[in-house]
Order: sequence, then structure tokens, then C-alpha cells
Amino acid sequence: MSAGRREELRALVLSLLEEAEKEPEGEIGDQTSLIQSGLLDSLELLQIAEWVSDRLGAPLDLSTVDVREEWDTIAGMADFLEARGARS
Amino acid sequence: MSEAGKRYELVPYEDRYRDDVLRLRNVFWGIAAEWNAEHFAWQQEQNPCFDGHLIYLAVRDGEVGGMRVLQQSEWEAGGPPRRFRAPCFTGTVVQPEHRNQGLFAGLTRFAESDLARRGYPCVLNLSAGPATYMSSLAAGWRAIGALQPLVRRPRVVGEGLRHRAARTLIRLAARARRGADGQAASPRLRCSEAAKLVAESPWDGRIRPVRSEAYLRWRFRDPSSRYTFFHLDRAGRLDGYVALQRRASPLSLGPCNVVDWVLRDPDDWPALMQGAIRHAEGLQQPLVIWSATLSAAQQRWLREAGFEDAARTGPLARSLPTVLVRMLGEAAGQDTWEVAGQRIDRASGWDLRMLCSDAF
Repeated sequence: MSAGRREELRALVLSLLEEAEKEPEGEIGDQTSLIQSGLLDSLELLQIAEWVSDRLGAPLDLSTVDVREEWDTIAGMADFLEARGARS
Repeated sequence: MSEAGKRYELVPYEDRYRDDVLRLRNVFWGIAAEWNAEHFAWQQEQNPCFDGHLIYLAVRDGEVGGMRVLQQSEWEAGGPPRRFRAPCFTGTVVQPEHRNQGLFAGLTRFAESDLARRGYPCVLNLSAGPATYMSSLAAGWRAIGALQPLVRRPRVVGEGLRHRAARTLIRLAARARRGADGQAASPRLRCSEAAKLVAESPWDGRIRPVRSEAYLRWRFRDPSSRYTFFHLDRAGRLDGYVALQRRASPLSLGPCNVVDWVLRDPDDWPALMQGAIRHAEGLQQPLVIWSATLSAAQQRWLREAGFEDAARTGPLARSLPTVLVRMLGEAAGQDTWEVAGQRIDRASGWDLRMLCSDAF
């Protein structure tokens, strides 16, 4: 997965956290837990789902996604997008 | 919970919180004051499976900052059928000044832990909105897939008739009181006969609610809804029924939902559904049904009768409505989630109707 995609995701996550006035402890790395750590909640995840759907070009059936595992990190989300054939 | 969140006491419902709960339901869920207390008593205490209120509260300095509410429900699956109870989450409130402190997740974990201790195998949610859907998935719940609502829109009364609309609608409504094959619309289900019909009718063992006489009597007394029934009688015997629901309001606007049906002979499906279609036509309202767990033949018939995919937008358009499920206790760690021999995390394990959801 391109570094560009990960940077794009990192920027998205940081902007959502800033919007929600949440301050992460330390930097958001590729392997930082975002969901299981409780950093992202439902509203941020909804916006991520919207962003992902946009990149995939169609609404996503989330029952086919293990959100807790597959979207827990920047790297996981990037892999998910690549596996689903997301456009750049 | 966050550090601030740890200042809350998480407690099960007690009667001293009744007024707080009613106020939160009124303010945050918009439940009309005139039937708020009645609906609360119906949902919790009059439920035939009632064995204590299923409400969990977050309290700080004597104030209820948030709550999660469940509705008791009993299900059956398999052959011979095995019964189990699985409470359904119906709603959440976190008051604005108490948000961003982890109360939703804290209350959910507290409820799940208490319900596991009380011996329930799983918990369900059949009315989750987008935010609850996402937070549930993030907490390890599973979704069975979209329930694929189909809608049939009424044929539009012609423009030239607009000035006679009231007269036309009255005539159509009168006609709608009689369905196909002379079925008469009724505001009451014949519950005793319906329960007998359920017991005698074919069923493939997929998970379904236990439609006992007591359950049917209770279920269709929901004060927030209005129900209409079509009975299919042959030789003095009830051979089928279909139940339609609309929101109870003075204007009674909004779609007509096909919330339940039972048939002794599956070939009677068209006859029964024609009654529902004519009724909705008479009311000039859309008719909606969940199609995901219907047979291919039933889905085909509906499309030929004018039903089409309900228009949905947004990132969760292909995900909602759905059933969210969560195994409790040690079984939560297993890959396959089964209760009474059926997969609860797959649509194929369920025989679902809107009747199963607290939203109808």
C-alpha cells in the first residue's frame, strides 16, 4: 500500500480527532490502535465509513467488515482499501 | 471509561429512577407525553417475558447522565424447537453535558456483563441507527447484513381528481377495508386462533419470535403504533393472517409496514398480500416489507406486484436496517456464534419480520 494512502488516512484521522477536541497521547503511527483503544468513537467512524465508501465508489456493506479488527489502525484501513480496490 | 467517566455510578434500574427515565425518553426520543408512561409500562412491565426492568443507568451526583434500555424477547429455533431469551437494546440516551466520557461504551459493557451473569446467551439490537451501528461494530458486535426493505408506492390519484381528493380517498379507504378474497380489515388480531395457527403451520426452524397467545396480545398493544389485520378464513378455520403497522399519531401519516404474517399454506401468500396492498392503496401510502429473509419465490412475487428497493442514501445505505448480535460470556470469543443450533450472526439463520423490532 502506498505511503500516500497512509498519509491521507492519517490526515483524516487527525482532523476528525481535532474536530472532536480529542488529544491522542503521542503520534498516530501506522500501528496505533484507534478503535480498540477507544480513541475513535461512533461519530468519527461514521465519517471514516463515508470516506471509505467514497473511495470505493459505492456504499459499503459493513456486515462484511470486521471493523474492530480491520479498521483499528491506519495500516489496517489502508490494507482494507487496497484489498477492496479503492481508487486513489 | 475516561477518568472523568469513572465518577459515574453504573446501576440497574430501580423504581426511584422512573421519573428520570420517563423524562429522558420524552426529551431525547420524542416519545409523546400522552403515551410515554403507558409505553414504558407496556415495553417493560407488561411484557409477558418480564423478569425485571432491563434498563442501565449512569448516575453522577444523583443525576441520571445516561441510560441504555433493552426490551425482553423470547425466540425459538430448530426442530424440535428450542426456546431462548435474548434481550434487545432499544435505545440510548447520553445527556449533552455528560457526553465524551465513555458512558455509551461503559453502560454497554455493564449491561452485557449483568445480562451474561443472569444467564442470557446473547443480546440483540434490531433498531440501531448509524451511530449505534458503528459503535457496536467497534465494540465487537456483528451485523447479519442489511434487511433489504422493499417498498410499493401507491398509484397516484390523477391530477384532474385533486379537487375531489377528499371524496376519492374516503371511497378508497372504504374499499380498503376489504382485502382480497373478501378478507376484512380488522383492528384486532384473533390472538388465540393466531397462536394455534403458528403452532400448526410449517416452519423451517430458523430463529423466530415465540408467538404465544400472551405474546401476540401484548405485542400488538404497543401504544406508539396502530395495527390493522387481515385474517384468511376457510371453513371456519383461521388459515393465515397479515399484520400492518403505522405510527400512531393524530394524522397517521407515514408508510404502512408489513410487520408480521403467518400462513398454513405458503401458496396463500399472494392472497394475503393482496389484502395488504389494497389497504395501503386505499390509504395512498407506501407499503414496506423487509425482504432479506423471505424466500426467492416471495421476493419475486413482491417485485412483480410492484415492490422495489427502498431508496437509501449515505455510507451505511447497504448496511441498515440490520440485526446486530453479540454473544455473551465465554461464547463471545468463538468464531461461530450459534444459539439453539442456528447461526445468529448470519441472515440465513433468521426468519425475520418487523414484528421482531421495537421500532414497529
